[in-house]
Amino acid sequence: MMEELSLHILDIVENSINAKATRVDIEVDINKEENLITIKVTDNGKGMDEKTLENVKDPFFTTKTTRKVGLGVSFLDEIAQLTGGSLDIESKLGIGTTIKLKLPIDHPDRPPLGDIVSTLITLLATNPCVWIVYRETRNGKSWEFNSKEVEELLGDYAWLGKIKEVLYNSYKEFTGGELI
Amino acid sequence: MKSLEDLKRIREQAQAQIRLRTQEANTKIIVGMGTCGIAAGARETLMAILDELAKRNIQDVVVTQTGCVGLCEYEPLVNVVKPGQPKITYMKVTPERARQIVASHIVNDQVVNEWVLSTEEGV
Repeated sequence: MMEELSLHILDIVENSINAKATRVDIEVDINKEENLITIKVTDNGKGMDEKTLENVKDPFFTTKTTRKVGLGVSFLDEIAQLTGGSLDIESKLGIGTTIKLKLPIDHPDRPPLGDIVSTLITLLATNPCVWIVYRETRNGKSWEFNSKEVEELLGDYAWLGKIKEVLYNSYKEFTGGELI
Repeated sequence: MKSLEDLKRIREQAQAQIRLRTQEANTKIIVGMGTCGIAAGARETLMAILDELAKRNIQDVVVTQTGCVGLCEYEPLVNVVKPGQPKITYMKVTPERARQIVASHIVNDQVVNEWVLSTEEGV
C-alpha cells in the first residue's frame, strides 16, 4: 500500500486518464462528527463493462498487458477492509466511472490524506489537457481548485512553480495546518 | 500571489508570453506513474524534475507520464528522449537523482551512466 491517500488518489486519477477521461472530479469530504472521510473520484472515461467491474478489486486482474497484477483499486479495497470502511465503484461503458471510498477518520490503519497539492501539481504537469477539479470540505468550509483557471499557464514550468506556491499557501490557509 | 484570484490575474497578464510546450519542445522526460512507480516515489521524483526545470528556466522539454512497463523493482523509472539520441531509461530515480539527471543529461548532454537501466536506439 501507499503511505498517503493523496498517492492513492493520484493512482486512481491516472487510471481515469489512461481510460481516456478528459475531465476528472475529485471530492474529499472530512466529516468529524460522523468520523468519516469520503473520497470520490468521478471521470468521463471509457468506463468498464460488467465483467471488468466485477473483477476490478481482484489484485490478479488487470486489463494491462505489461504485468499480471492490477493493484491500484485492490489497495483501496484493502484499506477499506482493514479499517471497516467501504469502497464502491460504479461504471458505465461510454459514460465513465465513479470510485467512492469511505474510511473512519480515527482508525489507526487509515493512511493520512497527505500532500494533496503535490498530487494536483503532478496531474497538471503531466496531463495539461485533462480538466481536473478538486473539492475538499472540512469543518464546514470548502476549498476548490479547477485546472481550467490556470490552463494557459501549464506550458511553462516557472509558472507551474508559481501555481504550486499559490496552491500550497491557499490550502494551508484552508486547513489551518490541520493534518488529517 | 496569495490566492487563486491572483492566479487568474496572472493568467491574463501572462497570456501573451506563454508558449505551449508541445509547440517547441524537443526533449521528453517520461516518468513512470503506474501504481508501482507512485508507490516507489514517482510523485516526488516528478516534483523535483519540475522544480529543477523551473529553476533553470528550461522550456523546450516536455514532462509526461507513462504507466507500468513491468519493471516495477526498478521504479521510479525515468526516460529521457533527446532528438537523434538513444532513449535512456534511468532506474530508481530519487528526487536527488532526478535533479542530477536534469543538470547532467538535459542541460549538459552527459548521460549519468551509473543509474542507466537501458539504452534504446532508434526512438
